[in-house]
Amino acid sequence: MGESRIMWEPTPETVQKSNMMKFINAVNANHRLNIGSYGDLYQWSVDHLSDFWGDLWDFLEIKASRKFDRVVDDATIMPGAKWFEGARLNFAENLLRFRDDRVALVFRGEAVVTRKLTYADLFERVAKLSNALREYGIKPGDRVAGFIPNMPEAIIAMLAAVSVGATWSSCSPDFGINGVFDRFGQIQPRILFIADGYYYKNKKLSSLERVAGIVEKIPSIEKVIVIPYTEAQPDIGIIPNAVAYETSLPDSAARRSNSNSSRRISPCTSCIPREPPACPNAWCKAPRAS
Amino acid sequence: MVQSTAGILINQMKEMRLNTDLKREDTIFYFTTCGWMMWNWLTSALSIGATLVLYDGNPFYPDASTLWKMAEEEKITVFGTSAGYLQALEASGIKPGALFDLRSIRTILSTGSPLSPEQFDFVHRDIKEDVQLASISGGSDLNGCFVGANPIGPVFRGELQARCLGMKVKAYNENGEPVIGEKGELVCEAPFPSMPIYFWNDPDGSRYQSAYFDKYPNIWCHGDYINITDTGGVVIHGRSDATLNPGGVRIGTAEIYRQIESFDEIQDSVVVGQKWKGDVRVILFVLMKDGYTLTDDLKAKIRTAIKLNASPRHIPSKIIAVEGIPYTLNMKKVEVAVRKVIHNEEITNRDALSNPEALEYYKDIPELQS
Repeated sequence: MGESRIMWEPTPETVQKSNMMKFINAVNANHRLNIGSYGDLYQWSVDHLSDFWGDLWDFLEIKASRKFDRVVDDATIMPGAKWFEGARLNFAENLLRFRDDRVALVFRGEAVVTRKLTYADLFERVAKLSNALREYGIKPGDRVAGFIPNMPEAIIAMLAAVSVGATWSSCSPDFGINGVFDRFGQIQPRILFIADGYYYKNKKLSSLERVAGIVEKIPSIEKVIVIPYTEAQPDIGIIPNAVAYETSLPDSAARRSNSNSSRRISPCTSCIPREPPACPNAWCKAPRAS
Repeated sequence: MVQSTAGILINQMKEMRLNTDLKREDTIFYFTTCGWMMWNWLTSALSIGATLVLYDGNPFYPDASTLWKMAEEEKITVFGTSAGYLQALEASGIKPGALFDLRSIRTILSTGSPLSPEQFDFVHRDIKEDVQLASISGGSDLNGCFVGANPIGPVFRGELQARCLGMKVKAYNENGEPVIGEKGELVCEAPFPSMPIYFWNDPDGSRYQSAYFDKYPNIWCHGDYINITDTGGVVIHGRSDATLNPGGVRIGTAEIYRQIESFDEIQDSVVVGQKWKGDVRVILFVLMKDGYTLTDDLKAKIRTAIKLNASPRHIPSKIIAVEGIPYTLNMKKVEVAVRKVIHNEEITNRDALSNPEALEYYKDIPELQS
């Protein structure tokens, strides 16, 4: 039709240096193949699902305390196929591989706020919050929700929640109250993270009253953790069971962090807080079962 | 929808590491809120050790150049956005390439709704010429893509680059046969790890089953209307539940939007099918730019353009001016809601709309009664 003309092509150098090409080389080595293009790789991947996802797991260096017994039980049933049975892993640990000074998050709150967090900052904050959630008693399977702007604390809260095995759900603070109730009312979260407000077209909008209304309708919510964004010290009194983000850490964690030993004492993010705590990582400092 | 840890992790890392070719030295941005799956998607970039940029607020405040100024300042290498945003950006008249140093940007990702060939032209002309413009598509249901970027292959104008690895995607015609080079329903014939493991409050799995598997048993039917080209690229013609079927001929709404884009007088539009005398007729609603009115002359021009560039079947029976077009919070036009309103059906999901009040413009329209 004369429609489809090429608007961009990668250079040979880009192709050679790409992660995709490295994966192709790995697949060729593993299976003695001669795949040379994306098209061939795609066809192989859908014709050999188990080999593909298995090779990919290794290539991506997925961190798991226990690898899968098999990639998939039956790739012909939809839905119902079980993937990676037997695997034990932690989502947060896989995302928090880096703990250095490279910038992890750049936050722009419209024209008002600019913040940067390094990977070291991010890890430390997730570890502290993760400890706090665990000490509060959040267990695998509990739901933790966020009604929260696109700010670093949304990611920190999500990672802390999944690090203790909780299930995370989030929506943005401009969502209508009925929509929020629809979502969170169904899943019955124990903890709700919010920010005090957000900026839109340079106007400060407060979330506090709306959240008070939401909490009234969702009795499962035991605690609301309020992150300061538009106000340094928001008046959280109108929300039942609200605590300020910084002080949501229990005293013992605050004391440990003051002495700069939080990293040393933090359990690793693989820990599954069953009774008793039993972490497979030898280097983990979590208290062990006696 | 409940998704598994390992399934989401491996699929998102695949898309970051392989499809986006993300490396430590990259700086990646996606315009999103944490109510949209692109937020979840973006967080996986942490596993690569790249820098993530988070923007909260109105992307057009103080003006349409805001995100591009930020791209220059933060030296963003992968810039993620939506077709809806790019449309509004083009309409603003701002040319980011002329205003800012965007040398750092190597890839622009676009999702949310189909990106027209003319929008590809806009990006290359007014943002950056030498850039990989990858239109990507998938769903919250898989927290990822069926069709996505390919760093080692070309970008064809108007096409999504390639079906994603491990996703056995086909286009089915009306007889359920896989076709190439023809329009059809996007299906996935084999399971993939990021499928939902179950729906909340769905103990016998019947809601999950009916959401995707009723049409073709044992096969995921996604609700997108596509064409897989013979180069392996994909064109998306719209949502299949918004597909119009006048006289039994299927039309994707994106095909009509593409023709409307060329009219400077028109700010925006929405197309739906109205049930009429046992068939369906095409209704085009237009939002005029300030200072312009919908004249009979303009209507004739619109019909001609559609007839010549699409087909006679695409010509709307009615072209009606409205004051607003409803969108979701992540900038997707809500055709299904408009269709319900004109048929006096109930809207259940008003809270997901960024401007639910716009639905009022579609109630009891006299021209639709005859």
